[in-house]
Amino acid sequence: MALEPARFKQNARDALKDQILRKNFRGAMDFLRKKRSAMFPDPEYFATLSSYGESVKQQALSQLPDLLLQLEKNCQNNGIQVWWAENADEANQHVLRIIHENSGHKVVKGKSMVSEETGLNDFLQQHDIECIETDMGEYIVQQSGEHPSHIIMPAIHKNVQQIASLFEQIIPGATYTEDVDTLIRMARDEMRQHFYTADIGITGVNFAVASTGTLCLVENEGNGRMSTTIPKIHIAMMGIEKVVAELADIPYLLELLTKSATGQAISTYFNMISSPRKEGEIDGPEQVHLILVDNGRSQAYADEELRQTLQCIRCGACMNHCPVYTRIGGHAYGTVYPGPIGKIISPHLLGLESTQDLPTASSLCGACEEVCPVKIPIPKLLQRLRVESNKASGQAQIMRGQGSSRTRTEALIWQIWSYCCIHPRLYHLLSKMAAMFGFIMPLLKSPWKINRAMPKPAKEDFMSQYKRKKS
Amino acid sequence: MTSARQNILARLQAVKTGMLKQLSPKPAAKQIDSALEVFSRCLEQNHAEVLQVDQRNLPATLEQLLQKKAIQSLITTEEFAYLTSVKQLEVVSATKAKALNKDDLFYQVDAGLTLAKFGIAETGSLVLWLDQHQPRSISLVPPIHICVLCADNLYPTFAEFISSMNMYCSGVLPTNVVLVSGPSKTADIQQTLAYGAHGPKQLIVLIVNPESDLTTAFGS
Amino acid sequence: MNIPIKIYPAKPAKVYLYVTCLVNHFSPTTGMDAINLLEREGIEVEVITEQTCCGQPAYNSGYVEQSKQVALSQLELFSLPIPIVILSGSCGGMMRKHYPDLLADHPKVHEFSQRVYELSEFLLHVCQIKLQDNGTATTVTLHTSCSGRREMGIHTTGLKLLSQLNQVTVVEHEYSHECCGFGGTFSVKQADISASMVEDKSKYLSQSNCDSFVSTDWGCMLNINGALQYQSSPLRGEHLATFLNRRLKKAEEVL
Repeated sequence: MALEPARFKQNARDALKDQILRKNFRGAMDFLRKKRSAMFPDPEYFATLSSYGESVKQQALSQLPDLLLQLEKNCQNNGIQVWWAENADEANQHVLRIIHENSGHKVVKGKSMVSEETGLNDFLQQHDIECIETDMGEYIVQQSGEHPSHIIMPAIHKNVQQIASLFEQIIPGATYTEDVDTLIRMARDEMRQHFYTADIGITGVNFAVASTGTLCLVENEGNGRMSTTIPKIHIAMMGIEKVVAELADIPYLLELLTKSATGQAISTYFNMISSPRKEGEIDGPEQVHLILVDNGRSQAYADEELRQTLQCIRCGACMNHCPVYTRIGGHAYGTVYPGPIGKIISPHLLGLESTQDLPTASSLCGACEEVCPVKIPIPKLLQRLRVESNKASGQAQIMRGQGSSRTRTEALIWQIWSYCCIHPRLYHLLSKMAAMFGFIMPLLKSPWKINRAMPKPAKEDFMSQYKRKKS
Repeated sequence: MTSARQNILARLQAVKTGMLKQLSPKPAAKQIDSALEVFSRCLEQNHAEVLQVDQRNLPATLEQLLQKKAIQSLITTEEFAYLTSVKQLEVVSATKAKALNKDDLFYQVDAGLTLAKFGIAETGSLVLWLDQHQPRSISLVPPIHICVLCADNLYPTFAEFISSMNMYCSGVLPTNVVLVSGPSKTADIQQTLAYGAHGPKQLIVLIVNPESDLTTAFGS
Repeated sequence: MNIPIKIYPAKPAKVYLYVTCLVNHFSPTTGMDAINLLEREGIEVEVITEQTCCGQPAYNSGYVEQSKQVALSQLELFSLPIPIVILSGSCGGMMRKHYPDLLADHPKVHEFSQRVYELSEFLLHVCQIKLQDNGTATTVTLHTSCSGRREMGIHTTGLKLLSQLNQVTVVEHEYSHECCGFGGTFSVKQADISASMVEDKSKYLSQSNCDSFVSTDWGCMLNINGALQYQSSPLRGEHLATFLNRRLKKAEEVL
């Protein structure tokens, strides 16, 4: 299934009609919101913690190149090899090269959104490298030939019946069962042999600590630890914005992440990797590679306001609270990252010209901003992206694809509108005419009328009434 | 120097980010009264079993536990070498060998027994300090993980543990540090919780109350 | 989102009233009801009839230059240092929160934006209004616009005013915190998604078994009332000002 953000409107329309999808998502989002809310009963505590988290991320971003250099140096001192990739293709090429140099034949993957971003699985498949997703949710979507629909719970769009049918088809010897414990056991047993035989493990990175050269991974299942322990090569792929300065920053960011994402005080495993297998150790990978991926992040970085997009710690709370995401699900966006964060990051990764619907697909309700653990001002950034989308040509180049949504019609409408608004006599004359001819409004064609009656202007507008009563 | 590295750094360095942003106030350090109780409760809430045991009773308790769980093959480290004397128990040494036997680990062994170097009370987390004395996979691959922690090594919060960490490693972290806060789990199928996704399905924690030399000298 | 602590002034002798373009065109009664409520508190209400629109539609659509011109023209109309009482949480949010960004270089923008109060918060916190309920028993539910809730903090003020009415039972509708799907131009630019949101919101309002629903925002209400009318539902929303006014009026009529 190809990802096509240009098909957003059609995808949304289709998703809105899908009653099963709507029910699945509504139930899942309600569940996740309750769990998060239970972990932050005190709004003042959340306010303090999230302000602190915001400042930690902003401080790190304000010295990003220095931190990346420090991370590189300390990783290298620890024996971790560091590679840089400007775009998706370069990142994939690094992975392939490392695999080939080590005669690798099979990859097990811990969850990595960056690897989704680069299309790594398809790329490796094209190069005849077997690549198995091992996170339960990722495994389910991979086997279904789909993409994840949520950044934390990739198979959230599926109900147990759908998964039971899937496992019956794909797992040798499996019978149909809706018992979740049994389904998990089946997948676990199936996956063991892959962990055993794989020679390459690929994961993402939740936080990278510059001062110690440490890669931190958050998980509940243990497949991340498996992928970073059993195979002889571990490759970690990371967006450049994920680096933090000090170990001391970690406990606060970790708490914000796990509480916001799944309503847990901490994940089952928090894995801090500082080197490959050392002399005298009897397990662990012989090589650890870190691939630092840009892929459009430096564009967001260059603008002070848009840079806030990079504060994201990928918790998913924004999409859990989004009334749009709840109704259309993750696939409709046609981007790797869905929901509010998807709308503000994808234009940098893919260009505004390819993601034109995303900045407008929001009523700017602010539910996301209210829960963002690092206080990203998402509605403001969406409004800013609308500014960039509609920019006239000849203005400062901030974003790839800027101005791509601008139409002469809309520009003219706002010109006329503003002219009227700053000329009160004209405005009130038009207002009187609208009152007189208001009966026409319900006759006009408009997308408003899908399921709403058109409002009719009052027979006498307020200003006329007021002036009349005063005299 | 690859050109990707130079290009990325050049783009980032060209941006004037101004003064280093100051950190906002941290939330107040959490007060954890009765750390041991909080620690045990969190682990139990996360589906782990928790036992408290006096140091001198540890070997007997372990033996009973192994019997109760019908564990016939155990992989462990030097500290528990004395368990080789337990009848009908095969003890696979995780440190004597030059490399771990994958077949044993994946298909033979019923449980892994490890020491946790530290614990964190607030979140009910065991801190596994993984290096040449403690391999990574014995607490991960077998379906049961038994973990022993000395009660003295319990820190109230992760933040406090990190601020003391330098005492143990002078700025160079061991190969791997893993915080384990329960048995493996997932809610990926219709948000329904299930245990034993890929890591151990059971986690049993033995908190050891250390006895001072004085007590054992004079008896109780 | 942290709403900065607002400092409410003492009750003034006079205020400006900003009715908002939607009230002007679609519900003049709301403006009249607001004037009545304020005058009952002994406040002189000045209506600058040159007012037009706060500029939000263009701002949210990304047409900042046009929005700026309009914002500037509005700011310059209200030069006396007296409060500006506005009849919408979302227009209030625009003036209070976004004008300082939009007109960052204007020497008077901060002073101006801090004088802006939405009606319900003004009545509660500045007038310290005490409402007498002279109506018959009824149930009502409150829908607060997202900007009203999150930018202006007025969901609580609306509820507090309603709870002063002893014959009125306030019920909460399901997913009351959720957006109604208006979002200005969102309702036409992403019409399918907007339609699904208003369909849900109108359903939740109807299912709350309230006799009426009120809101402090005509943007939301045009949206929701439009959906209710399409569904042939008897339920319609009215502005909080109208509802309050009606509950008070009976006493005067009786006397």
